[in-house]
Amino acid sequence: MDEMIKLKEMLNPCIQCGTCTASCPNEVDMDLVPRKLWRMVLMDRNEAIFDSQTFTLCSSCYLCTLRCPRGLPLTAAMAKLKAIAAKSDLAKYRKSTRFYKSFMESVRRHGRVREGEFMALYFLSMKNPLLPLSFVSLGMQMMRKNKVAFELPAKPGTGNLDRLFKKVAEIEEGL
Amino acid sequence: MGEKQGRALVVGAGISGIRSALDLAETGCDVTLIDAAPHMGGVLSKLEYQFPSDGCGMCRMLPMADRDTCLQACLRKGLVHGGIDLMLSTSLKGLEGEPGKYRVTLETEPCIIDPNLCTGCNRCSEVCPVTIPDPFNQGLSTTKAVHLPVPHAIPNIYTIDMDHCTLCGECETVCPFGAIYLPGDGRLELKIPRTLVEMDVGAVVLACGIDYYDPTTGINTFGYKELKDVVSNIELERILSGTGPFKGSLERPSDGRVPSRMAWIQCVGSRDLEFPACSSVCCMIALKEAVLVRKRSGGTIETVIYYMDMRCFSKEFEAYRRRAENKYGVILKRARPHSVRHDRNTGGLWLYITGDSGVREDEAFDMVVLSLGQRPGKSVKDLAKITGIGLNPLGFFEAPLSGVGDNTGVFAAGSASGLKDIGESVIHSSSASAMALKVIHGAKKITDEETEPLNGFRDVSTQVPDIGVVLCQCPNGPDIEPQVKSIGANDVHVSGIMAMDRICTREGWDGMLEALAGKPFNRILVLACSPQLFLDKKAAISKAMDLDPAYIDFADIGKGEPLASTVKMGLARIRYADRLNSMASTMVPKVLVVGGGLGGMTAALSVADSGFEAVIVEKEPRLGGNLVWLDKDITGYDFGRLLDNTCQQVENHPGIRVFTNAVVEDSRGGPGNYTTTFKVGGNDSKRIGHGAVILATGGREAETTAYGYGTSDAVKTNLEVEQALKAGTMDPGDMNVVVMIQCVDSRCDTREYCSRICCKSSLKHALEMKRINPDLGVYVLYREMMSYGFSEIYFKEARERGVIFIRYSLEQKPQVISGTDGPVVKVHEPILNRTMEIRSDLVVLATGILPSAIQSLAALFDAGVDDYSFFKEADSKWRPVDAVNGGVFACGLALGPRDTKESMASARAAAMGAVRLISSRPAGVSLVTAGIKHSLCILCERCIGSCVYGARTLDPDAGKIRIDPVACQGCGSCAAVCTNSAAFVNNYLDQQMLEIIDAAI
Repeated sequence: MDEMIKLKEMLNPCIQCGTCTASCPNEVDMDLVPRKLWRMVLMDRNEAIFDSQTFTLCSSCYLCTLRCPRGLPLTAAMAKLKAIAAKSDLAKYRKSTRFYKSFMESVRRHGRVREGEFMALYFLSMKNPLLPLSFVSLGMQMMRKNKVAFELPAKPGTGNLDRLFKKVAEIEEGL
Repeated sequence: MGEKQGRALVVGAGISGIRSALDLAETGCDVTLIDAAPHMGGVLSKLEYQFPSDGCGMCRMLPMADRDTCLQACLRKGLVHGGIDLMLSTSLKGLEGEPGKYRVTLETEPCIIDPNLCTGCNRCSEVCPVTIPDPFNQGLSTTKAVHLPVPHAIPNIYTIDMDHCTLCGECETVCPFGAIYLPGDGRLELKIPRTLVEMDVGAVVLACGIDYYDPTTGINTFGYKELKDVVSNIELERILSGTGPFKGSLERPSDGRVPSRMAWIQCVGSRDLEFPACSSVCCMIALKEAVLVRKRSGGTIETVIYYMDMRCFSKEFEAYRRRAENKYGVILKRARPHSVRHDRNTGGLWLYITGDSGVREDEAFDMVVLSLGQRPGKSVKDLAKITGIGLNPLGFFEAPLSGVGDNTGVFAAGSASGLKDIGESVIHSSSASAMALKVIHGAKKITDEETEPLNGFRDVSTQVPDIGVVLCQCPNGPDIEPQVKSIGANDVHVSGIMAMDRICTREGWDGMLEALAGKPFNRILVLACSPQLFLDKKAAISKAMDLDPAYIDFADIGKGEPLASTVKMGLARIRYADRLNSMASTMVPKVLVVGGGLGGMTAALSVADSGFEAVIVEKEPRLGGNLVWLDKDITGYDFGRLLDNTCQQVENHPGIRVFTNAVVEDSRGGPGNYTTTFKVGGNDSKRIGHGAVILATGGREAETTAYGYGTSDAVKTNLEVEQALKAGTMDPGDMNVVVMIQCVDSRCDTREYCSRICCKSSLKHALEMKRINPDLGVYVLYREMMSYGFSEIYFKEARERGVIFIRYSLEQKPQVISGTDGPVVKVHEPILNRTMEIRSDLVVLATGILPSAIQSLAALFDAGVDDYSFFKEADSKWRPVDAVNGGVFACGLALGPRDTKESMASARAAAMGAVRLISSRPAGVSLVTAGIKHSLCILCERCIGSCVYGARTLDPDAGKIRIDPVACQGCGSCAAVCTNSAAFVNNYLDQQMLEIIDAAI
């Protein structure tokens, strides 16, 4: 994968000191700690990398980037892995990639997220009729507090932020 | 001191500056030694313990030949040498002219306290109302605005910190000597003109040292200066020192409690984004500090060092590391803590760390020590501008590889071109002084000036002691004249007592000389304060009275000791003062260099350029040694050109004779006068006389049978790869994967030392191969990458180019298995905790360096070899290139593993040492020299065995013990072991000592 080669070049100067891991607030939940993850990138262990949940757990706090003695853009590297996973639509990460996509689709349409629509889009994209059931309890709680309302998805059509999204797509194309 | 040469300027009076100044002064140059600080000693004045001895030993740099020209006292306190003018608070402001004929401008800070008048009585400090953080203790304790910059220095002159002084004038009024001139009221008037001095010098040595990184200038995640118990390594040195803030007891600065757990964090300000190089010495400093803490606390304080690579790359350092771990229980952890956080509940300090396994191993400590990295010295930029010396990208002086053909008379010494440990600094300083001497010697005008006649004084050796006592009467001190007179009246040998008014002043001194001129006394005792500074004044009295300085002595009455015993002790000492009349044999002005590799040739050139003859004896048919097969260095410098240049210079130099196919057979004599026979071409025996010998016998790449070497063509050594790349017989373009294995048979029980250059060689090869074939997979299997100093930059570059570095341990060494299409290397990857199998086209082994067998050769010259069969230096720090006896030197690989640049520096340093010896022309035997009373000697030869300098030999023909007065350093071991009191040390006679003790009690 070209993207992975680019990522590898970006991370080549890594000295495996572990500062990223020691700085990471989510490291306890990661199956591959960041240090191992970067080592795998350098060793071309792509399979193992995309078998792990590590990069989906990155909360982009930027502590690792701030502290890396080599000044490596580690948060960006995590984002890159997320992007690769999304682009290749890997089954393992569909839950999170489609979640993101549905969120952004709702934003595109209205300039803000409509929770009900967002969830509906998500459920539709996952094509799993049982999935909404697992959100029932959370949904009820949130509805009770007026955090979400029943709402059917609007027609896709044109949205308020179309121009912005197009521009972003263009920029991403050029990268 | 030798034949008069020109004048040299040495900038910086730390270790390196002192070494260079002594080198040049001992070879007959007039030296002006300047330092911007108001004291000498540089950073060393703050350090008390040095690795690997855990002690000091700076005095070992003192001259060994013609010792009387230099004050034989602790060099940490100060340097007093007849040929060296010391100018403190002075900096170089201008340089014009050309090599050999420079005109320099020196600027001296205005003296608020006159150094000629200040006696260090401390009264000013007592009354000073301004308290400031003590810079000597890194601000961990306080002092007054008027204070001693270094408590142990001589001369110990008080200084005023004008940034804090309130100009209250208290000190001015209380000073009994009127030494303080505060500027008038108002700070604006504080513009006392600085003194500018111009002088002509032949060459300049820049030994301005380095600065240390200040974490507070960065993001400071370690909380330096925010958290009291986070200290720098220099602050810890001060805390451990007896003159430190806690009088030597190890306490936490925050609450004075003894810490129970201490952590060291390495590479603070090194090997990071801001400063991509390594600081070379911090690993050893941290180990030493941890060992000191363990020793001091009886092992009760736990010490943990967090490191990236433990770089113990010099000869004895790996053994030191092992000792620290195994004997003293220092804990080493490979991790890089990112920050220190204060625990409010316990007062402890938390470090956040991930272990190799990936599990968090956060730990709490009581005290954290930061190993601060190097930064260029403050003055480096200005000096570069003034002198035109180039700076490298990191802002240090450029140290060109060859020093050949560079048309300059300005040379960087010691750490100014990158931080070095003391041993390396001393070597590089001597190297710089050797190059400076070449320029000065080359520019020397031949003059007919008669040198002063030797021993032209009146002969008083057989006369009964007739002592004249000069008494310096201080107007502010008590009237001591009557007491001294009454003592004198009871001593039959005292025939005159003269009280003079303040001989510390110019007028007082001249008055004394006038009064003494023509007096018949044959012994002079001067009672004054701080007499150790009067070395040059002794010469003035000697001239005025036509009296050998041996018969002139000083007694210190300013130290507060009882006056009567001081005077009586002085009288007892001077009564027995004498000079042994055995003349030193003349120095043979020729140096034998054994070995004609790069080291030998460089040493010979250096000797010859100083005006002496050098003889190279090389056992091979051609010159060049290891340089013949080397291609280029990591910076791309072409060794072929270096070889051709050097060989050509050697062959064309009128001062060098070369014998190839020649082997040294036998040698007799001692320092200053050897006679050596060697065989040329197998049968032609030749004999030469020489004053010193330099062993440049080199070394070779170690053989190995490890990792399948010898069974497959795909397993090669570093040397073979270098040769193949040079010859073009190896094409990295044809290969897919190359594996390099470091530390083969090295840094293990069978061969303890690190060979220091293999990591750099492997990096060089990896980069070269990657350059030719960017798609090549290069794996370097290492234990610690010893890319110290600026070579760290290449380590980083190799990573950036995609070279993969895999760390292995002694317990889990890699395995090489021969496969059908090339060897397969199995290695455990510690980060992934998996065993990897790398199929490779080529396996390169870094097998390290072995010395040539020089044991018997060294033994011929009374020198020895160390545990690893390298040349045994007298002291790895202070006398890093010479044997104990002072006549035998070594350089290059014979001394220990080092790269070409370092070999050349050591060669010049060895040449400098040899030139120091043979250019000295003792004006007689040094005052403190051993002698023997043959009538009492029973030839038991105990004294011969006890003499570490090899100065005593048995003359079987005469049946007598002979003493070589040049080799003898007056240590007194012989006198101590002699059962008959036949062996004695002049000026430390038994009777004399007993009388001095008698007088003291």
